[in-house]
Amino acid sequence: MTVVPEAAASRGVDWTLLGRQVGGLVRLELRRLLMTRRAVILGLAASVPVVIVLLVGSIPIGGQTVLERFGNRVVYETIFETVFLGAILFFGCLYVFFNLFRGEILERSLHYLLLVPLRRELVVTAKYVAAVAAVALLFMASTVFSYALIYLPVGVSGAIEDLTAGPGGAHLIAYLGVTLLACIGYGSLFMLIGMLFRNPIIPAGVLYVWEMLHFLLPPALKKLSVIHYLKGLLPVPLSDGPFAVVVEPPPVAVSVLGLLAFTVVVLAANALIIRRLEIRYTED
Amino acid sequence: MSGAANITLRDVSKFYGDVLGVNRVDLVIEPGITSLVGPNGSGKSTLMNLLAGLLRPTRGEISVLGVSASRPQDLFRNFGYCTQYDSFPRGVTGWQFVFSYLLLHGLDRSEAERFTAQALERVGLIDAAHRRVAGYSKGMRQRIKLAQAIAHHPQVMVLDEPLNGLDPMVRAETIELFRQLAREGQHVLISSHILHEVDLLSDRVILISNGYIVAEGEVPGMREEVAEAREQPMQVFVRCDRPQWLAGRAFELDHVTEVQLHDDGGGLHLRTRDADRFLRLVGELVAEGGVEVEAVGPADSDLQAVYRYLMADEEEPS
Repeated sequence: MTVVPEAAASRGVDWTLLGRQVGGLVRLELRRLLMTRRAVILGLAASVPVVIVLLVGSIPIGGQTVLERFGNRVVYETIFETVFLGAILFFGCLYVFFNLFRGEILERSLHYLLLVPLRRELVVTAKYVAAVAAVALLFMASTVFSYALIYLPVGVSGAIEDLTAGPGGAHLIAYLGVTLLACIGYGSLFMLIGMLFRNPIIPAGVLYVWEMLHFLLPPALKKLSVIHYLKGLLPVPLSDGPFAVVVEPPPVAVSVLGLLAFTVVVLAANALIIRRLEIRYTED
Repeated sequence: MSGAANITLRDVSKFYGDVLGVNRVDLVIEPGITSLVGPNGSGKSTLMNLLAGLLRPTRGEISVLGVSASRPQDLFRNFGYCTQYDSFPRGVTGWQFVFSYLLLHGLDRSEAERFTAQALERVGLIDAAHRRVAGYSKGMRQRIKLAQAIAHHPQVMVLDEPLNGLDPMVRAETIELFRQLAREGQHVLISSHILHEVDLLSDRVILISNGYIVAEGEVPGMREEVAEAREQPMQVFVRCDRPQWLAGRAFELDHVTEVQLHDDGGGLHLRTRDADRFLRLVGELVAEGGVEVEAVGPADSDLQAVYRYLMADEEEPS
């Protein structure tokens, strides 16, 4: 006797059943990501930009806050680009996505996910989607809160006016979009690194240096960095300094579609690896 | 019985690089309780992981009720696997462990709750269901894995050393559970390194050693086969500094039937009907200083050697 639903036992695909299975896996993974110590660490990391904007917006130096002196848009862009995009999003995604499979291999619990009646490609996709949802939720919340704080000098009415009638709303959407795309792009890449390497330090270190020094790369190589496309989407252009190799930022459509296409390719590589993955924990 | 109703392995081999896991396994496993018995490291878990698709065969084909092990989406509808790994997702309770697994099978919550309760009841863990698995005893962890393996009522259950760590009473209850599942027409494949643990409950036994299936069949028939095998000469190897001289001495013994020198000149293989006498002789020659021996031991991985190993375990007081 088996409890398998009849439709599933047949050769045809039962989409309702498949939806329940994938949905179940996504929920399970979300719970693991959002209700464990991992979420606390991520939450603390996500709160860093909020704290920084709060400090530069509320502590006056020489009678003016940093936000007032340099302009809230430029200050926020600088914090977003250097602190958030340049460190927190990168390492936050590394922490979550690297451990998505590698963590389970190290805990010797991955086999449970491979003993369910689901194609392994779907297991990868469901875990990835759940991780993107969890990380994006925390980091997009951080973006909203930190962005709201740039209006400290102008108050609520000024904020509403800028968000509705000024460029503030479009800027916020751009920052949220960049945050989401960073989670999507870096997430797929770090998941792949987690599949391929036992220790992330060297590959992640190389990738970090590559991403952070992308402004020095020749134009052809710039196209091979995630941050090149993300920066092209940021609303306030900042100078990369005197040594930067300056190129025109890619069009928005190219950046978005390019990053999504890149993600699909990396996810396909992940799927290929897990299809061939063997459970031999002794080697790990 | 047709292949679609059985577990079938055709010429299956698995190598880990140069290391042999299992080699040229041909098996058809019918419904009922089948025990896979062999020493530690003989290839039992490799074979079970191959059946579950956790390992891919280097060569050969595996099908479970007509489904390839490389198709988890079909295989695990009817396949439950209790692995050897004594590890669990972090922080999970016994209930969550089984329940979430059933949700991943696509059962709705009420159905999953019902089947979780049923599985926990069957393995006697209902009272400990809401405790964390990390706090379970070894026996309880074995049982919760078993509960997960049987929770979706699969037709095939592959259980890697499921009796390990169980106290005598729970062991008896678990064996009765296996019998009940077999009576329901299911395939129950159990591995063990202790022959007497499984020979009373099994319909069929498969003996495995060094990655090779050395015997299979019903237990009484196998005992006869072993008795015959014991009449056969046994192969012994010796690594020493004077293999040619030792070969000459060995040929003086009437129970030695064959001697082969190693190509590297550092040892020899021989066949003897009385290995004990030969080993005594080697001991005497070493004591006299006639030869320096680096290593000596049985070179067989056949039924006789395996059975000796397993019976030695049986004869040990438990």
